[in-house]
Amino acid sequence: MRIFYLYDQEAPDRDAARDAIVAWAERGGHELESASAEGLAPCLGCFGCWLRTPGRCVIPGDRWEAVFGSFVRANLVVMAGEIPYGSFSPAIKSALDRWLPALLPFFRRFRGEMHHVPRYRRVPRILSLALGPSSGDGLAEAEEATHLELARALCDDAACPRQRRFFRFRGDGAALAAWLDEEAAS
Amino acid sequence: MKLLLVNGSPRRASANSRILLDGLEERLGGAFEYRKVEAASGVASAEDLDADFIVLAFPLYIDCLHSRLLSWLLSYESLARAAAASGGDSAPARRRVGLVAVANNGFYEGAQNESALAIVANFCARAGIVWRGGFGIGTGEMIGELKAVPAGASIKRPVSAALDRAAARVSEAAPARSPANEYSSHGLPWRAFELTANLHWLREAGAKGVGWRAMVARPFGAP
Repeated sequence: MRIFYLYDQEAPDRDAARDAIVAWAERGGHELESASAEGLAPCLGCFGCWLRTPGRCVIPGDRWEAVFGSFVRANLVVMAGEIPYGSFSPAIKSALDRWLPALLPFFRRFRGEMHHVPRYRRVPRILSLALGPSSGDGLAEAEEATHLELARALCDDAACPRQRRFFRFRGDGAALAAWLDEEAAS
Repeated sequence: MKLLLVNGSPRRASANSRILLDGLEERLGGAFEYRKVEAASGVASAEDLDADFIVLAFPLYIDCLHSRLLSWLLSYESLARAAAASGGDSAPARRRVGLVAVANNGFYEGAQNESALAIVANFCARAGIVWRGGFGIGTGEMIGELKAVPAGASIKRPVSAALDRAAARVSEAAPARSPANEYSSHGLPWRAFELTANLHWLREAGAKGVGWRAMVARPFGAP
């Protein structure tokens, strides 16, 4: 299995999470690529990736080609970052907004609602890993619930199995490996 | 009453969100002092705190908010927290600033905006803003297509009615509990919308000289 670890910024806990995923991948005999989403330009909303250069983003001059290529080739994508308000982080979101060329503009019914037809025959499994400290206040619980629903909606768009549970990395590599095992087995 | 109209689309003036905001402004009339901002800048300004109510319209990008809108909300929250810490009257929490959000997405089901609206509600909780509810509109690409069609036309009526209710929220006193989100789509059946939308994309690509084979190409191989 080919794994792509996409993280939002350079920070020690991103490295620690990557080390834990590397160890998990080595145990399972998997290949692993990793990249930061930091610095990717935001999507223009121009639909050029459907209408002008189908399958490719029209924005020149950043690392989109490499990041997107790793995404498409992977069997499992683990996106890692902070989850402000239950969203993905702005950097991860810029990468995701520019994931649109992985879909065709055409619609179909999937899991009971309207979704785009995937451009590629095989789509990767996508998991979202929360990093950074939890705010620890009464709002964190609602944000974590929102994030799990959002991650599941993304799985519906990607036509991959839905993420089962929310997981925040707190430096415990064994807990991260257990979560990955649990998700991969579902 | 000062109203901040926030366009959360990177398409700025050509956005369907702009049309929705214009429609809300038309319904609200001259009783308000309007200020319009583009969240595509990614950065809120201190002037943005000077509002009694915020109306945010945005498109769904991959199930939630576009990255620049998210950055704008984060910078607004920083300003709001700084204002609250300094004890000034500009802090939204002191002024009981309210916010209504109108999200639109390209799928049929307006309910697919649910996670995005939850994110905005969570932002309100962090920034000290009173969440006054969200409106999720499906079939969003039709907003621009039907711009010239009267609001009362049957195809437009469900969305027009949602905008009527969103505008009413601005004028009404805040209820004790945040209202539930409301979801709508333009008035045509699921299959008719699917067919119309698929033909729309084929036509749009054809106009640019891109045929079917090119549209479905897999430039990163065929995994």
